[in-house]
Amino acid sequence: MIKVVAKEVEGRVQVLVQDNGPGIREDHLPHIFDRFWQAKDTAYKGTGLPIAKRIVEAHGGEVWVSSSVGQGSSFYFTLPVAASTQKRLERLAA
Amino acid sequence: MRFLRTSYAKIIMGSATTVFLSGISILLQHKRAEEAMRQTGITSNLVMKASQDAVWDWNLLTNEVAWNKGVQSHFGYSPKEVGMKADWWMERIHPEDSERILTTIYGAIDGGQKYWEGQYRFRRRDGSYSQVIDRGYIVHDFRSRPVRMVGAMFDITALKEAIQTRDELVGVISHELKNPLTAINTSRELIQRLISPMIDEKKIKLILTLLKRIDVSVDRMVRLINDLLDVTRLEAQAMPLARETLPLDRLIEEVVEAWKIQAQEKSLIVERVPATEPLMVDADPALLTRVLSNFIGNAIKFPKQEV
Repeated sequence: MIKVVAKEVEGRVQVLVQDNGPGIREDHLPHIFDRFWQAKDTAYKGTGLPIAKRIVEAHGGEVWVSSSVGQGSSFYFTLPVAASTQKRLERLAA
Repeated sequence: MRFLRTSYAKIIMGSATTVFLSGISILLQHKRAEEAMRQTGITSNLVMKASQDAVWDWNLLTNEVAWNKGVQSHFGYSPKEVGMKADWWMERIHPEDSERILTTIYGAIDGGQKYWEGQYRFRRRDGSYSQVIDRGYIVHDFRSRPVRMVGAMFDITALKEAIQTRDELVGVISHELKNPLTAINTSRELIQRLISPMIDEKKIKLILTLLKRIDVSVDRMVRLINDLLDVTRLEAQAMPLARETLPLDRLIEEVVEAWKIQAQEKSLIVERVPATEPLMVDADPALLTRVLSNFIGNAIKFPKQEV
């Protein structure tokens, strides 16, 4: 079961991709977005995640992950809401 | 000067003409040397101010060294901490490099050479080491005595790290390209063996499976190469974002749809919780699709693997 949830959180758009897979070991977690990190016993290697991180950051957003072995993984990223939406929200607030 | 006058006086005892001529010659030589010293002095003062590197001016007679600000900005020392004597510099050379550097620099000075170059580790204020290339010119006086040495230290730590990064990247890429390449090669060999005039339906089926395997591997290699190009572009800050205002929720819907077949093959359900709003963002749709595709693809590809 994979769940994809997108919503607005505190003026930012937040996307969550959650799986109930095997999870990621705690000592691997800080490295899975590193470009050259290569652990033998992880599926998350190569350039996919580091590139995703760079793309999101180039857009002014953030990427993070929370996971524990046996519990699955939750990958998050945020993006600033569109400038037009931002203006509309400001007008509504005023 | 005193030395000059004494020798001059001694020569006076000899032939008057010789005295006169050699006297003029010595005076001219002396003047030229002085002028040269003054000129290099002016030049090096300007260089010291203008250069980003650590520029040094070493008086070989007094053993005093004048540094520009580069030595502070590059290696973290405060103006007061920078020693006036050459020993200050020598003490900060990495112990493993020290003997080699001091031998070559004094070898150049004492051997009448004009130029010296060395590569070594130089200690920063915080105790860590910078990789530096140090180059210096030796100035001689009119009697060819080494009196002064002027040079500059270039911090090549970042350059060395960039080279190391590149080597690692090449390693990772060759490693990752090897697997699909091996798969392609094995499949090709098998297909070649299967092709014969007596080919039957079973063999044709097998060939089709093998061709499919080649397809998958080629896709993987193309993806790797595209990723690599993106890394290079992002690294150079040259990835132009073709931003447009777009509804993120729709984009998510499309990506989830694209992965549906692969999810079904693994009996996985991808549940998308639709947002209550379209969630407008200013983003590059192609790049954002890659991010979503990576996250969702990982969740589908790795469900059973031990992570």
